Formats: sequence, structure tokens, C-alpha cells
Amino acid sequence: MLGYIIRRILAVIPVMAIVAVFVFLLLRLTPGDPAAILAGDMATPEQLARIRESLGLTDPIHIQFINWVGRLLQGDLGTSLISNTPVMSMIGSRIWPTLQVGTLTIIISVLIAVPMGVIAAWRHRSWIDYAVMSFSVLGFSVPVFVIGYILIKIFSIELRWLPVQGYASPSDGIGAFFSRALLPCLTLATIYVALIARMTRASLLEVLGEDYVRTARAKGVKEKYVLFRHALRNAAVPIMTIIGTGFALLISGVVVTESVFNIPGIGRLTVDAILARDYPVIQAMILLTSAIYVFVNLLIDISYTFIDPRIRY
Amino acid sequence: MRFKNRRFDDADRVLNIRDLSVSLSGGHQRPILDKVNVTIHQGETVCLVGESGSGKSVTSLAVMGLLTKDALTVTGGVIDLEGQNLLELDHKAMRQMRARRISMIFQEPMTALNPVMQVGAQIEEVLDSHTKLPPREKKKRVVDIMNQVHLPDVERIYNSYPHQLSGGQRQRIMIAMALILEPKLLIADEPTTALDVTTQNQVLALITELQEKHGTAVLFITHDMGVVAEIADTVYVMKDGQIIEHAPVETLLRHPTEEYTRRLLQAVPSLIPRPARERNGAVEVLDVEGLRKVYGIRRLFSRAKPTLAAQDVSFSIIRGRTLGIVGESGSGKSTVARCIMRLIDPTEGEIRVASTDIARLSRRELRPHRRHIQIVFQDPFRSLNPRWTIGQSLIEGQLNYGTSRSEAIKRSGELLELVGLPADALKRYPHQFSGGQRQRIAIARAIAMRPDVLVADEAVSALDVSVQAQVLQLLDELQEKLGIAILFITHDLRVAAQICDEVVVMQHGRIVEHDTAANVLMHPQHDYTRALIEAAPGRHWDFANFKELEPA
Amino acid sequence: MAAAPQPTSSLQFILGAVAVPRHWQLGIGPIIAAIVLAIIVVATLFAPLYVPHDPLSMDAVQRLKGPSSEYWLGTDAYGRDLFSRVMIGGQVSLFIGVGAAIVSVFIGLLIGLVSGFFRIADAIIMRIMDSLMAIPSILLAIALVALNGPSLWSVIFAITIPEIPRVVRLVRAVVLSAREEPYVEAAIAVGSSMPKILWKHLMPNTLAPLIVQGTYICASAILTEAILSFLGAGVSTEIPTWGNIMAEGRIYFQIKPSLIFWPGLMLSLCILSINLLGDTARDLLDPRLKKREG
Repeated sequence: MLGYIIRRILAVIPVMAIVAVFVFLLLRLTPGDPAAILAGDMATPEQLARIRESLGLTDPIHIQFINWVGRLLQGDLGTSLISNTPVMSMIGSRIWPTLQVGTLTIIISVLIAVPMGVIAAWRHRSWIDYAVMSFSVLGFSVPVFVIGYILIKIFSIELRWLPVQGYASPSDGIGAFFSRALLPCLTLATIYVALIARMTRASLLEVLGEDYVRTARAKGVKEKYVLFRHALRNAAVPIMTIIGTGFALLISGVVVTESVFNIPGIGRLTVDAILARDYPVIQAMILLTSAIYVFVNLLIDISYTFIDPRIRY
Repeated sequence: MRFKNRRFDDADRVLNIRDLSVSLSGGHQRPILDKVNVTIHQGETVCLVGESGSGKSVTSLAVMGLLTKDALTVTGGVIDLEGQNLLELDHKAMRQMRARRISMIFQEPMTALNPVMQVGAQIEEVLDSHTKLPPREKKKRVVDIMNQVHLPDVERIYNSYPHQLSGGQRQRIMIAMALILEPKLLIADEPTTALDVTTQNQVLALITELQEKHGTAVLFITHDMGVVAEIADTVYVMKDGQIIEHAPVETLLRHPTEEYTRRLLQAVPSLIPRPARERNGAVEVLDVEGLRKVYGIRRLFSRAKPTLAAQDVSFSIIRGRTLGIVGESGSGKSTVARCIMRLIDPTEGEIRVASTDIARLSRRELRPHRRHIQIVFQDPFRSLNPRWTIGQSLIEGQLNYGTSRSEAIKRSGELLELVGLPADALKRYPHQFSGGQRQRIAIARAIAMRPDVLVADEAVSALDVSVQAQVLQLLDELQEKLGIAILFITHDLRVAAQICDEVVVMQHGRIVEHDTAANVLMHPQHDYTRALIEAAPGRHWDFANFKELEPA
Repeated sequence: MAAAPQPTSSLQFILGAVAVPRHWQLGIGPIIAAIVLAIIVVATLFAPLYVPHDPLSMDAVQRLKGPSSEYWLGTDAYGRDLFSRVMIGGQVSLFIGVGAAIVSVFIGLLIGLVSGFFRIADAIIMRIMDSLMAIPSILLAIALVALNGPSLWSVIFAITIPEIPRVVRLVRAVVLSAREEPYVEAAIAVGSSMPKILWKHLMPNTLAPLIVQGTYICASAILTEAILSFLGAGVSTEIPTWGNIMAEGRIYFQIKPSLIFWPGLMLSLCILSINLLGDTARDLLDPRLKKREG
């Protein structure tokens, strides 16, 4: 088992290395002069030169790469073209709201989605199954920001139950935090719940057809234990996998949701960077979010060993 | 042959199924079960025999109340367990019957046990569901029943997961689970079919032992007449959802009254080898020398050891004769077949086909030699491309070797007739044929290449006995006509006796005995061969002739 | 012998005999979805023939007007007719959806076939695909559009790249399981060459799952276009697309939510129908196929 975990951890290295190469090449292989693209049409030659200098575009490409990787390994993600501050510190000061909202979303989503999927599978082809499936298809079909605006319209503008937009840190009071975090979390959770509920239902349906479920019933085990002790545990691996791969959707959702709700997190930082063509920030965000994605999926891979005793090689 | 000639007329009736009918839900087709009547007394073993699709498993699941809800519905009849009609019970009452009054064990112990739960806990769950014993008492009961089913090292196995146990041990766990609450009735649905013959024997003995100890009534479902002869008190023969005949075991085997039963018994292959074919000439068409196959390379941070699948395997086949490779699962017999076909690459050794060593040839160099040696696989449902017509499948190989399309199609039609199918089958798709017919088509595809050697890898194992007999007959005729050599891989000694001239017995990847079929089966030299033969169920009975086997 | 009705041969080829359902039991849902989708597609394709206004013509006097007989859904901040813009805007959105689906399925199929059959290539290809999967698709698309400019093709390209790994994984998984089938081994035994086996025996197995996957990609591409436009990294704002119309409407959300509501409704109905049809296709073709992962 330790061997499995070590091999999983080592497998992260090539993946992150390829991501880094890819991100590096993204800018350099763009047709035309990247500095000119980033500076926009109105750029002066001085501005262009400054951008080239800042991105290190003047050196031969392999030197650029070595320097770039060297700085990355020291935790230097580059410097913003606009504010001239290190991207690392920009991210550092904006990451907390994102982490809080993100964590809350994951917890809410799993707590809602897994029971939804289990019940839908258990009552296969009943109205409750159709309701869950309809919700899940709907969740895939409506853009995140439309959901966000609909929730604001209903709960903030019409019912006036919650503040319209903005963010409060938990240190400002738990009530203030939750009242502002609730709508963004629900918005983000919609697609995640749709995804997880759907996968839970599908893998549970498959497992419920297995012989050992029939054995459990033949033993006279109560239906709730058949579902949760036998079926869900065996269906857990694909569900965990989808929670991990769905993390990518969550990251995209964060970017959109933070600008809908005016939350000063790293998602907003990204959107501001797009509008300002601040490429170093975009690049750093890609690297950071990929690293988080890989790390989360590594944790999930390792957790398989606790769920399924057969994974021990 | 000693049968169980016990009488049960005075014993209590445990289960009485009367006029049980089951249909497809919402379907108007022929019923799946049509007025089935079965009676089982205390301590009695009733065998329900029949070919696939006869409805024997449906009967057992109906008794357990485990029919798939949206697929099958009981449309009539009574299932009477000690005076109580199970069909009238609600969900909760039926749940409480299971494991306490009736239990069931299944065919495939690997899939029937929950792979992510320790087996001790799985047995204990029965007690959790039906009793309120204190934890220590529960554990004691579990350990006790695990001892009763003769599991070794109970403490270790208690905490093991199913994949850490052998097939036989898993089935013992299932039996322990089924019998821990001492139910009145045990339903065993093909419980030994997935097991090797020696393990099968032990499990059958265990069921008999526990049945006598606890006075359990057993409903035993099987397709294997040998098993029936060993364990049955009473036999019910099923066909197309109906019981067509029932009688005490000896009566049934000696004097079957129904024509169907007679045919079923006559199809059981005899353990007495057929006369060997003459060695006409001595043209070796396949010569295997020192074959060795090792699976698995060591990986970084992995403790998995390489497994030796085959070692020192040498034999040769002469034109027009059949060599059988016999062994239990994991003996390496299929590995040898796949190496010879070069579907996998042998680690060492020579494979001479038409006097060329093909063991080391590259894929490209190999292609001209492929036609000399062809294969028929076990599973008839997967060995034909479902998207292709039979014609497309049959001409594929011929076109590869330069036959013109029209010529290939013409020959394919002839081949179909040769294997006993109408020529218009060319335009149809595999799903329009039965398993036995598909296996004939697979044989036609193989002989279309005019091979010297035909490898049959468990080619009749997935077929019902009556179909099995026909396919064996077909192979025999083809060999007569075409002079083809056959390498026949099987786990079934009866089948081997009917088709082989020579037999190789394999164990743990090595050949332990190699001789004529007559010598191997009648005068085995190696202990392992002897054990295999002794474990063959019903080996003292001549099913086809309804009498004891006369010693040769 | 089952006297099943003879399926037509092209259908047979895509589905495989075993997968052809005995009775095509469709619920009411997929039928409604098909009708809705057909109406949306026809309405947007023929929009230039019937829309009352030029979707680009501005009129400062008519800013942010409510619905009227002249402007059926009202006007936007530049006085452009919302109805005309929504109907015409669907053209680009649908084009992006279909384009991204076709391109990613086609490229993914080729890479996946190679990966599924050549072990050496497989290791490298799969590492690259793992890495591509790790990059959140929206961010990758943003970076690509930021660098390549807001053209239609760079948006399609940006949406396609992140979808390819999923198609590759799907094709590879199908090929890997199909190559273990005895009928493939039988083809090897009768001397068929590897490219022939790959194309004639293995590739057809991928068609049914690819059709399903293609519909999902189409739906997700339309959605992604909207999000990219919303974030300011989409198709040039001069071209109306559902995403662009909503992006421009967000500033006026509190005054005139219909600027987001109508294009959002069209978009959601369209994606919903495509997803429902995709689910139906999947259930019919192969119940074991799971929804795309992530």
C-alpha cells in the first residue's frame, strides 16, 4: 500500500512538468509578437519593450525556459504587468475568500448530492428518480452566472432576505459571512451537485445489480444497510473520482461566481487580469489551479486504498 | 455406484411448491415457469436439473422472494414453507424469513461476497439482522460456524477480504453465512460450477455433512448429472419452465421415463476414453519444446512477484490426432494455448508449426505462418464480431491470404454446410444464432484457413451437454474428413475422454503426466491425475447406458 | 434462433447487433427535447429572413425600452432590438457548439486509436492528456483567447483543446477493452494486419459512445462560449452571440433583467434539449456508458 501511495505521488511529477511546459509554450508559440498582443493596439514602443523585458522574451527560448522554471521553483510566479507587484503576493492576499467559499461549496454539494443520488437509484424509475435526474440535467444546462442572477433576483431583490453582493470575512461575524456566502455557494453548488448526484445514481444502479447485493438481501439484511453499507461503499470509487475531476468545473465556476457576487477572491483577480490583459496573472492562475487540481486528485487516489482493500499493488 | 437410497415419506414436508407460475413483467409471452410443483422433506436433498434457460434459477429466486421486481412476476401458485405461503408475506416478514428459515448460496462465490467487507463481518451481519446477541456472543457464533465449515486458521480468515481467499474458501464462507441460523431449507444454485473439480468434491461433501448434522432440507440446482448422482435423494428435471419428470435418483438414472431425460443422460460424456485413432504416418504438425511463460515484471515500489505460468512444456501432435491438455484453473493450460497461437509472447522455448519455429517471429514475419494454426475460443457470444455478418467473418482470413472475394464467399457457403448450418446464414448477424450455432460458425472460420492444427480452448465448456455432444461430434467428423490435428484444452475429464487420443495433465504450469488417453484415464501414474479422476462426480455410473460402469 | 427483425446495415454498423434495443421505448421527454431543439435550430438558421430589425443597428433614442409591438422583447443599452439579436445570436452559438464537437471528436478519435493500440505511444500520450485535464478548461480557454485574439476560430480552438483529452480517454478505454475480445484475437489468428483490425474491428466500437460524447461536447461548448463572453474573453463584442448579449446586459441587470433572461432562456433550452437527447442516445446505445467526467 505504501508502494502504491509513493507511486501515485511520483506520478504527479511528470504531469506537473508537462503542465509547466505547456503553460510556458502557450505564450511563446502564439503566432505574432506576444508583447504586441498583450499591450493592445495603442501600445507605444516603450511599453512593448517593457513587456518584453518583464516577460523575459528577449533571451533565446531555452534560456527563457530555464530561468522561468528556476524562478517557479523558488515560488516566483512573475510580476503583474499592470500593478508591478509580484503575482504571488497578489494571490496570497486574495485566496482566503475563495478557499472559504470553495470549501463550503464542496461540503454542501457532497451532503446534498450523495443522498440525492442514492435515493434516486434506490427508487429507480420513480417520480423522485425523475426529479433528481431533471434537476441534474438542468444543472448542466444553465450557465453559472444565470443561476447566480436568478438567485440574486429572488432572494436579494424580491424577497430581500440576503444582501445583494459582496463579501464578509468570518472574522467579521459568522452571520455576516454566511449571509453573504450562501448565495455564491448555492450558485457554485448547482453544477457540482448535478454532477455528483448523477454519478452517484449511475454507479449505485450498477452496484445494485451485483451478486453481493443479492447475497445481502438473501441474508435478510435491512434495505437501508443494503444501500449504505453494501452498495454505497462499493460505488464510492467512481463517486470520489467524479468529485475530483469535477473540481475543474468548480474552479471555472469560482471565476464566474466571484464576479457575479463581487467577491474579492482569486477568481475576481483572474477576471480583472483578463480585462487588463495582465498575462502573468493569468499564467500564474493556470499553474496554481492545475496544481490544486492535481493535488486534490492525488488525495482522492490515495483515499481509494482506504475504500477498496483490493487496491494494494 | 452407491446412491442415497433414503426414504422421506414419513419426514416433515419443509417446502411445497404448488403450481408456481412466473412470467415476464407486462409480457404476454410464454410463461418463464409454468405450473411448477416441487416438494422437499426435512433432511432431503432435491436436485433440480435442466439446461440453461429451463427456469431452475428462477424457481429458486422465487422461493427466496428475490425475483428482479421490474422483470419477473409470480402469476400464480403457492410456495408453502412449513405451512406458511411465502407469496402472501409482506416485505418485512419475507426479509425475516431469509437466513432464519431459508438460505441460499450462489454459483460464483467471488462476486457473491462483498469485496470491500471482511468476511467475518459479512457472516456476523446475518446475526445483526436477525438477533440481538451481545457482540462477544456473535463473534463466538461466527467462529463456531467457520470451524464447522472447516476453514483453516479461522482468526486470520475472519479478518480477510474475499479476494484474499481461494474459491473453495469463499464458498465455505457462503455456506457458513447460509447455515449460521440453522435454517430449515438451504437453496444451492450451482454452488460448485465455478470451482475446480477437486474443490467441488470437498464442497459437496461439506454440504452433505452439515445437512446431516442439522437436518436441513436442500434444494440443489445443477446442470451436472455427475453431481446429481453423488448428492441427490430426489431429482426433478426441468425443461422450458416445466417439471417434466421427477423420481428418486436411482430410479431416474436407471429408468428415465421421459424421452427428454433419456436424451439428457445420453449426452453426458463417458469417462471411458474412446478408441484412439491410428497413427497414420508420423507427420508432426505441431512441436512444442521447452515452452516457458513468466508473467509480470517487477515494478518500482511494488512487491508483486513475477508469476510462472508455464514451465518446461514440451509435446507434439501428429496429423489427424487429438492431444488434450487437462488441468484445473491456474494450471497454465490456456497460457500454453495462447503462446502457441502467439496471442501472447512466450518467454522461452520453441513452437514449430509446419517445421518453422514461430516462437520468436515478429508480428509481420508471423503472418504467413498464422494460417497453419487456428483457434476456437470458449465464449461463443464474444468470438464473432457482432457488427459483421457471418459471411464477413468467414471470408476475412481467406482474403488475407489472397483468395478472391467471390471464391471466398463460395467456399464460406460450403463450410457452413459442412458444419451443419444453412448457406443463407452468410447474410445474417451473430445475434440471430444460438450459442451452439455460433460455435459451429467459429469452427467454420478456423477451418476456412485449411489449418494443420486446430486449437480448441475450452471450446465446449460454455455449452449445454446436448449441444456439447453435437459440437464434439462435429469436431470428430471434421478431423476424419480433413485429417486436421486438434489441440484440445479442457478442464473436463469426461470431454477429454471423448475427444482425445493423447492427454497431457498440467498442474502449476508444468506437465505432470503425458500418455495415451486410455492410460491416463484408466491407469493414471501421477498422484495429481489420480486425485483429479477420483474427484470426478458420478464416475462409477454410465449415464448414457443407464447402468453401473463396468470395469474395463 | 431468434427471428429478430433485420436492422438496416449502417445502423447495425454503428450500434452493433447486441446494442439494438428490442423496442425503442422513448419517454415523452426526449420527444419534447427533439421538437424544442428543432424549433431553435430552424428559428436561428432562418433568423435573417424574418427578424424585424438589423441586430447591429443602434438607436440612442430607443435605449433600454420595454417590450412593444415594434420591439417584441424590448431593446438593449444601445437601442438594438433584443429579439433580433437573440435569434441571430443563436447562429454563432450553435456554430461554435457543433464545430467544437466535430473537431474534438475527430482529433480525439485519431489520438485515442493510436494510444489504444501502440503501447509506447500510449504512455506518452496519456501523460500529456492527464496534464491537459489538470488545466481548468475555462482558464486555458481564457489564456488562448487572450493570446490569439477574440476571433470565432480562436474561441472554437480554445473550447476544443480541453475537450480532446476526454475523447481520447473514452476512445482508448473502448479500444483497450475491445482488443481483449475473442473476435479480435480471432482476427489476429486469421492473419489480419494491425491497421485493418484497428479500423475494421476496433474503431466501430467507438462510434456509439462518440455520438453520445459529441452531443455532450456540443452542449458544453455552447455553455463555455457564454461563460467566456461573460468573462470578457469571448468572440468579439461586435458579433451578437447568446453569451455576448448576456455579458453586455449584466451592468443593467438590476434595471432590466430581461437582457440576461431571454438569451439565457434560449441558451438553457437549447443545451437542455441537447443534453436530454444525449442521455437518451446513451441509454439506447449502451446503458453502461457513464456521463462524461467533469
